[in-house]
Amino acid sequence: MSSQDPNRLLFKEILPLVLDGEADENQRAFFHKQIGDCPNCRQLYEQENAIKQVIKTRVARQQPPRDLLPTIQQQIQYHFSVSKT
Amino acid sequence: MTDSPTPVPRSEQENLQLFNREFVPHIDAMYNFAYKLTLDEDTAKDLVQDTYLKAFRFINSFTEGTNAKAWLFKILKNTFINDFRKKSKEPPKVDYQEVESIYNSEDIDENITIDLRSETVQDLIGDEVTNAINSLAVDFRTVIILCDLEGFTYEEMSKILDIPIGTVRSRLHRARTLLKHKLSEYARKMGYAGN
Repeated sequence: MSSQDPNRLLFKEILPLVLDGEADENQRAFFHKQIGDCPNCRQLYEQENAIKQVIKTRVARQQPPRDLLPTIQQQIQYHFSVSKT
Repeated sequence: MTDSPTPVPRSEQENLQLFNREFVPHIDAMYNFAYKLTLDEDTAKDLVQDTYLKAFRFINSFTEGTNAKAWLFKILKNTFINDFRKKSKEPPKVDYQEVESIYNSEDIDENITIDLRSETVQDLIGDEVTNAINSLAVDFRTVIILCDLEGFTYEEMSKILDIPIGTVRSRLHRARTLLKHKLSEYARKMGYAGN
């Protein structure tokens, strides 16, 4: 099968929509059929899905310094008390 | 964001309560986003602080019940662009034209031939993926963080970034292709690939 196969090109376009939860019903149906019919498409899906999952679950979230929220709240309270006077 | 019904005027006390209820719970995500943009702890702290003060100043334009997190992220992104971008530790500037010509191929096999199996991806540790994301140009790492880490929809990203949904999609595609290349290089260096 040619890499210019319209189904494979369409699959490539639809894949991110499926992974990102943006695909409609028809696009999801096409996606499921295509990963059954096309081994390269399935391989691409597995690769992209693995990257997305690794980002979601293993990339460290930077924790804010402990004094950040108290500092912000202090500034807001100051603004609040000034505007009341 | 601003495309919601006309906000109802609130008292200062109500605004303060709204601030604590709707905005404060997002501080962890805000700091993480600020850090990923600036790659510096002190600058990220200043950026979040400035963003929250702006959010309070403009709180009357926020409609309760609308998406507070997206509203805050938009203010943070604009504050970063206007006041902080020059100070941040930016990776070398990306030539968008070059990236486009290299990675805009319509050939599906372009992606598969990147030597990166899904099993290999699962072997990568968080630090390696974090480093690869941090090495992307800020516009590319921003879309990956908003979409894959924070779970914003394309429509929300379009509003946060002030770009059309089509641009969100094409930027995500390019960012992911670049990331895949970086992860593949990482895997090869670490001896993960080609097993």
